[in-house]
Amino acid sequence: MSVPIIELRPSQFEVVRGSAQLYASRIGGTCALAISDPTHGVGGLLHWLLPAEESDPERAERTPALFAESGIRALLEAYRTAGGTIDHAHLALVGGASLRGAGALDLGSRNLLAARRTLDLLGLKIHAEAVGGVFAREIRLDLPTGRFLIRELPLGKP
Amino acid sequence: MKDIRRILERVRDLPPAPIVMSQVVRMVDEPDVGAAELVKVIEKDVGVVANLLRVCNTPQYAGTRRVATLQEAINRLGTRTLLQLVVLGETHSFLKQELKGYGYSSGDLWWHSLGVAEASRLLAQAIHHENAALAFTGGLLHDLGKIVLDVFLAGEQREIRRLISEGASLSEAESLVLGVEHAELGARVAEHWQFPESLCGTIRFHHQPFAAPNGVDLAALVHLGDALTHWLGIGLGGPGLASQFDPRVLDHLGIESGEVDRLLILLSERIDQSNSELAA
Repeated sequence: MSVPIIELRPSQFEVVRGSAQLYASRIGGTCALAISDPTHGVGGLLHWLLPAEESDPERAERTPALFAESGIRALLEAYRTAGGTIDHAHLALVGGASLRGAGALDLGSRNLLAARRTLDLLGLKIHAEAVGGVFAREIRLDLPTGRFLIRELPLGKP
Repeated sequence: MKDIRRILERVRDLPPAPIVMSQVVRMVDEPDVGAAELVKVIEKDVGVVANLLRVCNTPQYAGTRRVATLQEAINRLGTRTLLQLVVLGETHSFLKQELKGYGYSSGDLWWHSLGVAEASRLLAQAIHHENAALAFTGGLLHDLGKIVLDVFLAGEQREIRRLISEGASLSEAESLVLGVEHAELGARVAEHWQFPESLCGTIRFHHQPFAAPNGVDLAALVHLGDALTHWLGIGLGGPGLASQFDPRVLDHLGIESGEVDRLLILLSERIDQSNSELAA
């Protein structure tokens, strides 16, 4: 039987216990955070859009995956509910590509800052990351193995 | 460096634009377009009419009653919205193609172009620009040059990627390796197709809006629209975010930097809506 492939667009997250492939592509200035616990066969992927929810707490309540902090908290809660543990957790952070010249306005840099601040706050450690630069990326999280596959989108196809 | 003459010859050898598309694109630049004038152009092509009526009856545009004729469609949506729908329908076939040189899968450039079109219109509406339809069309066609340049990128990607990794923008890397960049080439295609001068200028200067000799506004709207779309990752392909952003466009357009996140949410919602319309 084929494994379900679930694509997460910006503002979406999913947690699965069992077999599945969670996938986010065309990650530009947005960010994706993957978490997996291979021991318990649980994993999740969050693809968020914006760093700060202060400007719109109502929207963060309705769509937590829109923002870094509310998204990471929602992902963790669903992960724990599905049986994932922090002790066995592996985390990967992907994205936050920058637009040159954008300075303080740059979405990618602001998203990465928000991710690190939130993860520090929650006492979580990143095990793998591919962040910054200008190229787009994608991440696949294979479950229940918990294997991450991260790549930059190539310029040109064979 | 590739022979730039061969690239420019490719533009000159392009067939003329489909007649409805070229007439409708010219109409976008006109301040007032009468319903009768629009019907006269569109009704010549049964395929265009059928596609237009189909789109008018999708949930995004449908009212309580189905639209069955062009006149009903105009009554419901108005000439400006209808013009934009015709341009969308007419450009879909060439914007949706796979561009192997750039690493765009089939549909990537279409989604990126639609994203920039929606973003440019959103920004134009936010600043009460006089012609949001023209901003939309400029956004939709801003990367026209990539369609022609794509084939010439074959075998050059490694060098282009190296230049980008060292700090060049995609346009700078294209100029260094191929002798011409996609914005200039796109403007030449638009000129070849006799599109309005305002549109050709928008395409040519979408990466350098303050160099536009005949008005900065439209190029600035598309420049900022392109940035928002890149950040969101809409139709993002191999070149990624390798553009140089000019933050002065915010001041020029009178948009506060604090407004950018709200615009990103709005744009993301509009694109999700288009996505579900097409999936329906």
